[in-house]
Amino acid sequence: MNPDSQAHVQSFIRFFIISLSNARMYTIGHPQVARMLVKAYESLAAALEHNSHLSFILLEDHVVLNEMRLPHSFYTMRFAEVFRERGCSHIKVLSTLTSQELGELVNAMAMPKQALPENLSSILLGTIYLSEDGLNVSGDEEILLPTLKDLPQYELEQFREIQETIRTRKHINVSGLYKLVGGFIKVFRQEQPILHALIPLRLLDEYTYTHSTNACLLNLAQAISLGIEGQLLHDIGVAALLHDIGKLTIPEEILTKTDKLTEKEWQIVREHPIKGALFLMDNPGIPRLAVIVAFEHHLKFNLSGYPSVNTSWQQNICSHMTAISDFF
Amino acid sequence: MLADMLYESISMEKGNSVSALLELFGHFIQRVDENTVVRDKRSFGKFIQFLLALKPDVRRYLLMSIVDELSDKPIVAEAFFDDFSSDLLADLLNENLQTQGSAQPAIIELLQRLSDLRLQKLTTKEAEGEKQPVSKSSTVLADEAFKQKLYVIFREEQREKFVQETYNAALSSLLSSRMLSKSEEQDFLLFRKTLDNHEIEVKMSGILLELIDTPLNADGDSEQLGQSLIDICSYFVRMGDFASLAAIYERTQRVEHPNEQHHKLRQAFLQPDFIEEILQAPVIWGRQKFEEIAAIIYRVGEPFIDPILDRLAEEADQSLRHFYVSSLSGLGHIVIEKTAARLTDFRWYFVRNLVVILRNTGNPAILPFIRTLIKHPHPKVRQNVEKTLLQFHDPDAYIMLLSDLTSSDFDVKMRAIHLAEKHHTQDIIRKLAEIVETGGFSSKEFELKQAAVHTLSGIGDAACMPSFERVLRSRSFFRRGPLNQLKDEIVTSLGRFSSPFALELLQRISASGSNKFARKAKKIAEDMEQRHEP
Repeated sequence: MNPDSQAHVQSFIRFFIISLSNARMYTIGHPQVARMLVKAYESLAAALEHNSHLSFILLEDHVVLNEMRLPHSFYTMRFAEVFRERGCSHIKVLSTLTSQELGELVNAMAMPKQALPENLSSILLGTIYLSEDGLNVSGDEEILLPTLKDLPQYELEQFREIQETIRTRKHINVSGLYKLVGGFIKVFRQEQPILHALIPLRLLDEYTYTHSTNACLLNLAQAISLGIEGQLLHDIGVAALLHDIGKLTIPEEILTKTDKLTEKEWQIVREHPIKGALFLMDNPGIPRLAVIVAFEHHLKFNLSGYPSVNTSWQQNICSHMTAISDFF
Repeated sequence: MLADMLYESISMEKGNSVSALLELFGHFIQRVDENTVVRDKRSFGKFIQFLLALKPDVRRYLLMSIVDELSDKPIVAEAFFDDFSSDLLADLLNENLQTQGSAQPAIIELLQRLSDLRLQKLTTKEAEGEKQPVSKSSTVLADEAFKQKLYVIFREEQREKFVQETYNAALSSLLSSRMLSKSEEQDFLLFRKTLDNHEIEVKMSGILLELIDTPLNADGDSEQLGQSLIDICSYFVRMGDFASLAAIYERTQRVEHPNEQHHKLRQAFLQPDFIEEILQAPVIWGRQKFEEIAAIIYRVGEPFIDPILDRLAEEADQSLRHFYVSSLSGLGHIVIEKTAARLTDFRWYFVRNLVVILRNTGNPAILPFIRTLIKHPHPKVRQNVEKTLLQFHDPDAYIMLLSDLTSSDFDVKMRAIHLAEKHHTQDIIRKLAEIVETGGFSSKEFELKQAAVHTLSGIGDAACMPSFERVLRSRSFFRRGPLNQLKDEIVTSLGRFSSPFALELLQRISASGSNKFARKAKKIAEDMEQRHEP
């Protein structure tokens, strides 16, 4: 793919996301939706002049276009995210594309409960996902959670793995995190009342694990009680799992120190929300909510706490939830 | 028997004996270790049986005294509590809560250790796939019995046993009032909104601004952070979120020691495509966003001037032209040079708007540019030039106004009469009085006379009294109706003067006869006198 085509595709992604976001935030009939859609179509048509088709494969937050990874950006992340929400990871666009077809796709994606159109002859939507065995082309990967009793050991292993990647400063296995949270949510659906699910975890002597997973479980319990579901519920769970990630940058001797901390040591402790947010920003696929929560979870309701923020700062509800979960 | 003796000692308040007994039990527990529990199971069992045989209050008394010792010996504690029913354990915790207000740390620790140990055993059993049967003697407690005890301790329906009454009451009240109050509901909706996609982007922009500022990112990819922020800005502008955009810009401007990312971000706001998108915004988002869009224009400033002037010259929509004029006016003196440079444009309507913009700056530096338009061929331009010059009390303005008051063009003359109320000289007052006194009584002429009377009363200068008096004393056979109407206007207007000459004129009119003007003049004069009485 030549650089011009790639630039056209990047413009397409940008205008497509803006058109869709406007359609979601305002109405499908808003003039800005149509305006951005025209620009998106023009960009895509320009890219298709030199390519018989465009094949987008979405891997976590990365967009692979005709086997070439596009530079990671705010818009590519959103592009991957909006299709991931719909369980779609492969989009093939043929040169016969019309602006009406693109409009139909935006319309359908703007409404969360509306199924994606299946009759678009020039836009083919599908699912591709990678597993250890190679490329899978269909079916949902089932997480086997026969009973609540088995849950801690299962998740403990996954969590240790994730923690290790963080310690070694590698990129986080985001799909692993989502599996973990997905497992919790399934347990919540199976076990009633929700708080019964917490008891086995409280018995484990794995501080970081129990702390993070308990925060995750308590966040999920709060979110479910507020009627939150779907992708957002998963994001809230992941955000809680990762909220204290910045603590891994604090030296062990400070964390375990029983005496009063010196001012310098306190300073290091107070830096962990910023360091956590910085670390997560650098990891594709991490939900933005996780970055927000890592940054805000030590802020109090009256904005005291740390890091210091301006007086107009409004804390996200997920940070409030995590602060509560963190406390318990 | 031992139990009976102990009970008797306590009930008879034999303090010394009780202390001695407690001490005895304390020593006993201190000496018991894991080996004792396994080796001398039978004797230990008898001791437990003894405790179980005690009356509840005595047993509690005794148990409370040895809890500290047990907390350091989890195996012994397990064996110790093995035969205790769930209710006995709950009882122990309850007693502790009642006497101390909260659970004694030793008891909590004891329960925690029991939990840990139990879990280890369960994990071992699972790891071995339960191939090796685990005997009761090695696990000490049966799974189900232990689970049951923990369940009893932690189960929700018995929380009143463990939680303070006041807390329970508050909790029950919260749970029973299932409906949120209106203010709580509003708070909740506000908080819930923070989970909307767009709100998350807004929050991310705030965090990114913090992160590009922080020295903690020394080894991180700050360029990526900066680019993300620029992308978010381009997203905000196309999403119509100009308030967030303005907040970002302002924040970058406030930074005392800007780094490379701050500079790049500031530059992003100056790019032609960004400016073009902002200027397209009023067309797309309409009036409701005008104020927010203007706020961005005011902040960024100079780069917007030429693009807005270009649009102003060609815009057909009146509300958008108003928006452009007001946005440029709000930029203040920085627009003068670029706006003045276009005053020679051939489109009169554009030049008129330029004059308005220059006038709105309130800066006298515009006067030399404005004076060049005094003889502009289009009257609308000239009117605005005149208005501008009048605002700065420029002598040329009064010459223009005087000239307009003699204009044969009705609109020009009428407008000049109105302007004169705020901008007048003695020449102008004389000219206004002349309009009242002379000329005919066609409908347009009458309108001009009426307006002149109103302007003169607004000015309040008594120099017009002779003219007024002459009109009031005049007679016309052919124009009697309109003349009487004009007289009526004059008499009424005299009441608005604060000059004593006006009162004198009213009194003279009143004394001159008994017609309706005389009666009206008398009434107004009396009102004026009352107003002026101390």
